[in-house]
Amino acid sequence: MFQNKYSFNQSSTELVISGLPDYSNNDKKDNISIISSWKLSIINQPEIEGSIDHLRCVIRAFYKCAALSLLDREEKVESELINLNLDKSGNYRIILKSTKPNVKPLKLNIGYAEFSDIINCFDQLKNFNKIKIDFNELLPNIKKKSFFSFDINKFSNTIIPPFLALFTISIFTFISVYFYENKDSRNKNISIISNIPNIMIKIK
Amino acid sequence: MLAISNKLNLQHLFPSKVSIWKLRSNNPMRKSHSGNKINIEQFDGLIRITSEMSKYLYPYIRAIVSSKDNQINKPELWNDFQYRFIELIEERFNTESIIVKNLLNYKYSQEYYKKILLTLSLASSDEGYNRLKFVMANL
Repeated sequence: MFQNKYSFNQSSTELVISGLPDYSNNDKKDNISIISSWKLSIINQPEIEGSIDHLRCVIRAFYKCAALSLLDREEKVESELINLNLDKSGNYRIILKSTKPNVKPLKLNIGYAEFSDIINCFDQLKNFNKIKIDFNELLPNIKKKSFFSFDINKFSNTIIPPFLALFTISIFTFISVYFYENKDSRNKNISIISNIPNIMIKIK
Repeated sequence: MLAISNKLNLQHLFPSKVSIWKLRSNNPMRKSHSGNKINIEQFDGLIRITSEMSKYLYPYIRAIVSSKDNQINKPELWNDFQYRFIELIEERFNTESIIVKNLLNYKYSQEYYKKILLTLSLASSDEGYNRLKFVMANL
């Protein structure tokens, strides 16, 4: 039985899917319902390949990361097979974990351009009717932030600076009051008697 | 924009250039801001047009984003984009507004410009419309 093979290209990226039709599901000859292998090639990066479970995991992670990037949310996308995060330099850091023992995780660093190419390839796959993958479970399920949701960064940026300012002002006030009181009490303890011809200073 | 709107059969929403210009004037940052109301259908139409336009412009968008990614080796395209973008903002937006002043600040807004391009590049595929709509609904 011949395998069907389809490729999806976008600028720097190519996604190749190979597999077989499921005749019990009334598939046509050129359909793919059973994916036997897939390969994602990005220019200047090592090739990524694996089983259908890996592909599902990778697509889910990329779609979620795209949605989070567009919503400007800094959340980590982590799963058993892939970690995908946007680092401070503005690059996407991908860690692919192998299911085979004694295989080190593969680390990739890609920019916005490659990231959007990969997403475009997955979108082409989604809209290609000859390959049957259930994308409903792969789409991100991101809950809308409620008005009262607690954001630790916003909290630290808005509440902590004025609180620190108040704290410093109160500390300076306490210190100055303390010195003022000390000076005042020392003055009280010193009495100058000027009636006597010789000036006499009495210290209690 | 009008040609794309006609291509998408949105003539009933945007019959002329003036109607599109009126909708663009809803942006409170514009000099020519007017308080016209925009309905859901028009809002949806604008998302469709944005997604369709980004399809045509994807090669350019990608090249600019790529230039930003390799700013040390190829900064020219990104610098040109940034220069033109700032020029257009100065020309069309109310520069007295603090938000616009922040937009014009190169250091403050660099990441913001990059986010705009990423949004457009992710809106350029066949799923772009749904993605853009999802984002607008969850902002």
